[in-house]
Amino acid sequence: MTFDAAVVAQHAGAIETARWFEATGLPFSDDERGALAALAPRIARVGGWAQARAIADDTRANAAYDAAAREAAALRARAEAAGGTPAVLRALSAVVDRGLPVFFRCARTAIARAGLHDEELSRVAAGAAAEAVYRGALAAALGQPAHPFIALEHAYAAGRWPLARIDETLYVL
Amino acid sequence: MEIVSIEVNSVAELADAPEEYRQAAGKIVRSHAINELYGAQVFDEPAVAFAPTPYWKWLTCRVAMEEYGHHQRFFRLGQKMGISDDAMIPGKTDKRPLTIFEFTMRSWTEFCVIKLLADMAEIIQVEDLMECTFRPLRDEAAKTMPEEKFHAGFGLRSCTELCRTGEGRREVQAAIDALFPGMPAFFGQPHSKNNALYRKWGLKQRTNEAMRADYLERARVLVEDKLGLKLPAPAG
Repeated sequence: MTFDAAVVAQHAGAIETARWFEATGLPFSDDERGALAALAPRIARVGGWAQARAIADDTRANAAYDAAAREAAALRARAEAAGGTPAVLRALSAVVDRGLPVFFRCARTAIARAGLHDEELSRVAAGAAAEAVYRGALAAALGQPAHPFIALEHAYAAGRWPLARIDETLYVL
Repeated sequence: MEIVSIEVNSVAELADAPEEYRQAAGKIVRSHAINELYGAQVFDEPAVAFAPTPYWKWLTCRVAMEEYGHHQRFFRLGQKMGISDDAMIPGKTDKRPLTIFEFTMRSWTEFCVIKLLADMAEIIQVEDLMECTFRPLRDEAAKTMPEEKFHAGFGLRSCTELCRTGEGRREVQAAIDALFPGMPAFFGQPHSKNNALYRKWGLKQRTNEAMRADYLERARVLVEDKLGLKLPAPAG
């Protein structure tokens, strides 16, 4: 297995132009439904930002989150074994550098469009997007184009916020 | 104490400043670059695993990114000033991070208390830098301040939330008891030669003792007036 730092750079480079949080609150298109179906047996649309906190703060979401965190750690270990820790760190820090201003700005804009002002929720959404791109880039750099992390990253980049998976249902804003 | 009237508006102007000024400004920038990164590495990043739900995990992830972003600000300024990269990276430089980072964080509650008390200490340091005579440093301090205030505010909100139950109150008090005694050391030794040098050149405005006293009072207000808990005595 190889770690391709150039692939991470592509993901970082695409951050500026993606549609972060733009589609939140809107009905799903057929294409979106098809893409999201790869992530969970059942998809539930969350109608607005006001409900987002309660869903992301539901302890029943921990099992799926923790499983994804373990998978991310395993991918990271594989990447470091293949590419060396300094190179992997250097490549992935580009995601943080590029995403730092963008995710927060886009989340704040989307929340404002919903008539809310919530600095904390803006940061939560920004953290979620950063995590998704980081994991998607990691999976892609390891040559795993069908990895669920990449589909999840696409959902974020298409303007959605996949908030939590509880049992068989993925809740998406 | 001699106070020199000076204003350095850019990194280019720094080249014409006295050697003592340049050295002092470099020390401050290095210290901030090292400690912002080290704090993110030992507290913020590991805290993601302790956070109770995805909501708090993502918020913590964002806070870690912002702390890393603060490191990047000071790091880039240091690079422009001619400081080597390795001199600003913990583990690559022989300059040790602050002793507060030796605290071993074991729980989400301890992380919330770190945000409450350690980020307040950072705010006091950054407030002082916002008056400094080296404008690029002043500008970076001003840019980091809103995020530092959010982090400290998050500490207060999360500790307030935890204190709603008896068990939570006991855990927050225990975390304060464990963390706080070492916190005043964050402000350095009394009668510090470095601090005297910084004040001579207007890079810092207040003595370590004055900042420490300010911190003790602000921490007392947070812990005793706002949370209704007890602030332990500082060590030493």
